[in-house]
Amino acid sequence: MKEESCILCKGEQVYKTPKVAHCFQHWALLSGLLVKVVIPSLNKDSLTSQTCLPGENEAIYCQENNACSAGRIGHASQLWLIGENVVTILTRSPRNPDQKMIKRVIALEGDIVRTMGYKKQYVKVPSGHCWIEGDHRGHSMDSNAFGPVSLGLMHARASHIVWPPSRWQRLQSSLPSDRRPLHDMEHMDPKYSLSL
Amino acid sequence: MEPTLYTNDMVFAETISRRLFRINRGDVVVVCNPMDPHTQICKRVIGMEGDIVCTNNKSYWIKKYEHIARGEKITSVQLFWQRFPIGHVWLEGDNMEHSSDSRLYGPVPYALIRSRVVWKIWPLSNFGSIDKCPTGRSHEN
Repeated sequence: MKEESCILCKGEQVYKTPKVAHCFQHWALLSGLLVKVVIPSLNKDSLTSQTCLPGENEAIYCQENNACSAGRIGHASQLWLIGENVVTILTRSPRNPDQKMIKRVIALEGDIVRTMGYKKQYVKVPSGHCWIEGDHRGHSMDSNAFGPVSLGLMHARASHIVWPPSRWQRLQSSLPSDRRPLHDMEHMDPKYSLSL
Repeated sequence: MEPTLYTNDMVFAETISRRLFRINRGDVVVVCNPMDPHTQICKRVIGMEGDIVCTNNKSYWIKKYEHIARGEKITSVQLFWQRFPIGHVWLEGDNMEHSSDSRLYGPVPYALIRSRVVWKIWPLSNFGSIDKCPTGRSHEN
């Protein structure tokens, strides 16, 4: 395994954009598109082929999304259906404002989430926030590490992988069945419901 | 943000400082509202990551993270580094009595800052640069 992927497997999210892609990015912004070259590693190499999330050195096509109007664009184009379909989004890390990460939206405001490794077992997502998780559970720097993420940090929605050509595909919006938010408080352990 | 800024004031804000990470304590910034991503709020940066913030009322957020309490009226909250999240700032409005700011919803991620207010344009009677914090809050540490 390369050293770079070793570092990334520890949960660090790295975002680098070569200068060439920067120029193309600014041009693409004028036409309403946004292409970024991403080097995150949400999954180990063995899992990348199983999930469709981008791995190392892969370019993705994102639909440009003004961070402040993330919700508005989502509702207008029906990209986000609350509680059902989720999308992979490009977001700024709340811990490091210089860093971007790609995660999957698990829950939106008002949903109750059963967390994995967070300080509280059940979390009700506050207004204006969402719960994001990486597909590689346990090795992902996501909401299970730093809690709900404000929707203002959302940068773009990742829709396609464009590089390398062997990985051309459309990123599916799919919610893992075991990560569905809880809509019914009765399914929860009663002792946790008081702490919400 | 009274008396520094009033409703319907027009100001000039620049977005370069936040990209170069030159936002300092005492700057008035325009921030994407963490509670409602469609709106923006204008507050003053009181603390950056690593600072100890002293506040005058026990807000809901502080009650959850209070470790040290001294005195009756002034509650000094020491935010240890593992609790006060890195990459966040503490915002407060100049109108302390009627301001919903970080005392309500806690520290705000730095990436939510949209721009820094530099100059007041309208009304013309108030034309000029942004005053320093009237309550002297930005100098406390």
